[in-house]
Amino acid sequence: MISTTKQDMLITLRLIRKNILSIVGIVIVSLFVVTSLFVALTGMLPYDPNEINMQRRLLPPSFTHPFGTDHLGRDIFSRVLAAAPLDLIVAFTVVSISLIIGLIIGSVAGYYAGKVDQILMRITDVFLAFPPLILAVAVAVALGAGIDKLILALLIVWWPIYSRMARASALSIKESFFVKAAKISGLNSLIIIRKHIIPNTVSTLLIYATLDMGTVILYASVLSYLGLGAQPPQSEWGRMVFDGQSYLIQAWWSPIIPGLVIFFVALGFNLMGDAIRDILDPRYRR
Amino acid sequence: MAKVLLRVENLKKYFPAKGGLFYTEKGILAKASVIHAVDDVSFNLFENENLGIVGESGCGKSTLAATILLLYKPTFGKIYFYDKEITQLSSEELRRLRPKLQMVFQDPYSSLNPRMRVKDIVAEPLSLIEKNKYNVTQKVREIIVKVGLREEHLERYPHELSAGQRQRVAIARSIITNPKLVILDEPTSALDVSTQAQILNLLKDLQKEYGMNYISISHNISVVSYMSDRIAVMYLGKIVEIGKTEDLIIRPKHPYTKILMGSIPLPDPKRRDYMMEVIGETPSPVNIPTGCRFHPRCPYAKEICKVSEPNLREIEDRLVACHLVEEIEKS
Repeated sequence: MISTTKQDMLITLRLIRKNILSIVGIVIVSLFVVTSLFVALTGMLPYDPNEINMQRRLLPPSFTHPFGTDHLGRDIFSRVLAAAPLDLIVAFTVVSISLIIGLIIGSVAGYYAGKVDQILMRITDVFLAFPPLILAVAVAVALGAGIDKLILALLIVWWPIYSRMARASALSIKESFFVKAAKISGLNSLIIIRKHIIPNTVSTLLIYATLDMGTVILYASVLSYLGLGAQPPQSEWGRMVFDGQSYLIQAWWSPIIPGLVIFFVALGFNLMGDAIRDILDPRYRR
Repeated sequence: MAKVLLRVENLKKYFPAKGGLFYTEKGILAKASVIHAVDDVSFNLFENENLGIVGESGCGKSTLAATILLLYKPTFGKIYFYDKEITQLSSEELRRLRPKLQMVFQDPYSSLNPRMRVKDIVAEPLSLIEKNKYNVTQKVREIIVKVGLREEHLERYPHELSAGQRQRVAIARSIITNPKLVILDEPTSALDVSTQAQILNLLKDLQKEYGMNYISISHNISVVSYMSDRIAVMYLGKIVEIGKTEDLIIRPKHPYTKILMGSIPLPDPKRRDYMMEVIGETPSPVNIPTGCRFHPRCPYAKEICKVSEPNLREIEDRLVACHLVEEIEKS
């Protein structure tokens, strides 16, 4: 009796902990999205994020400058906020376009199987064969700087994973009786893919996509840190870490705070992704 | 004599047991490892006749059904629908013929797309041949009542229906195009007993009204005998006996049919003598036994059974594939 109650308590504790983590994730992500939308729509910021003022350079965090100022006297809080919509747009565009490309290529490959599958999947494998970050850097270097090129570079790295997943899902859905029934009714393959395969694949991919947003933000920051992607004076979190790192000793807030922002946003998306997976997958429920 | 609706000639469907580049269906490497799912099946289905196919799990019943409807490309053999060879049709011609040949699947849970409403599921086959949307909706409404559901069910999703209701939806989908032939692949095996009876009676009523032919496939002999005029018994991808339903059940001739009929549980303790012991397991369809494929399990097996494969031959208005029918009859 005692052991079971103890076990019950442990399960309850674990549930509560998991719940807190899920809530933390959802709070961080909603904060990020709401702030991004607010900044993007109103353009309201405490200070002009690009205003250089040598009088107030490298000020520590205070009430007037909550995150301090950087080596050019720019308010870090305003710069962090100004960069939020940018990262949201990058993450959203990369993930959603990858999702669409992946859905189409994966469903076609999985449904037709045989030669079509072989050709499409070998092409996918070529992209998957490279370490993703190195491929992204290489493409970004080749394309040059700029947000649009950053998005393109990340897309090239991102879509193969989605097409692989969509293919796996299409392979199993293809064998279900409702697809066979559709075939017997005389539907052609394209309609079957559009009406039966894709709608049943999309939900699994959507869960993965939310989990994935944080990773895209991490990658975008890495590329910006390396000087690819966002160009000055446009503020970007990765770029801010790079700009501040030479002042790490005198002004730790200048690189550390943007770094922490990246960390928390990525963490938030991961926690939320976990929560969504737990909610949708009854096997994880206890 | 009645017209032949469906003629199946020497139909074979083999699957490669190993997939990949080198182990293709016709490849050299594949010869040793082929699953003989359907192995030389021939039969006729006449107009206004229902055929039943029984056999153990894994004997190729469902593959036979799927191959007749050309979901799988036959490895060998021909299928004629009203004297028209459908195995040679182009995919476009075949698509135009599809509405005449329909199927009801075993599992009512996976046979309906979970993301479509009932009205769209039922309308799907018809909307291919009937372009007028109003006519389609009218027909869907008519048919949903015919299968014993109400119009309010049209707006629902499959997960909001019970297994029996889902199977009714699947039946509605299969008959909405006025098919000539409907293959029922274990139509009731996923349902509970009272629902089974309702569905079988529904199928019979629909047949009276729309005049289609059924091929019922099941491991359940009572279901098949209720639904069919003639029964074909399958064993390891081959038909071993075909005959009139009652005749075949009361006086089975092939040893396998005898065992199969003897295995029907009857609430009569005195009938124990009727039961025959089955020896061993069904052999793997990859390594088919030589000669008669039933000989390793057959209580009557003789030397000839190990060597030569018996073909279906006519014995008293019935087709049996056994060398020893006469001998067994005498004893």
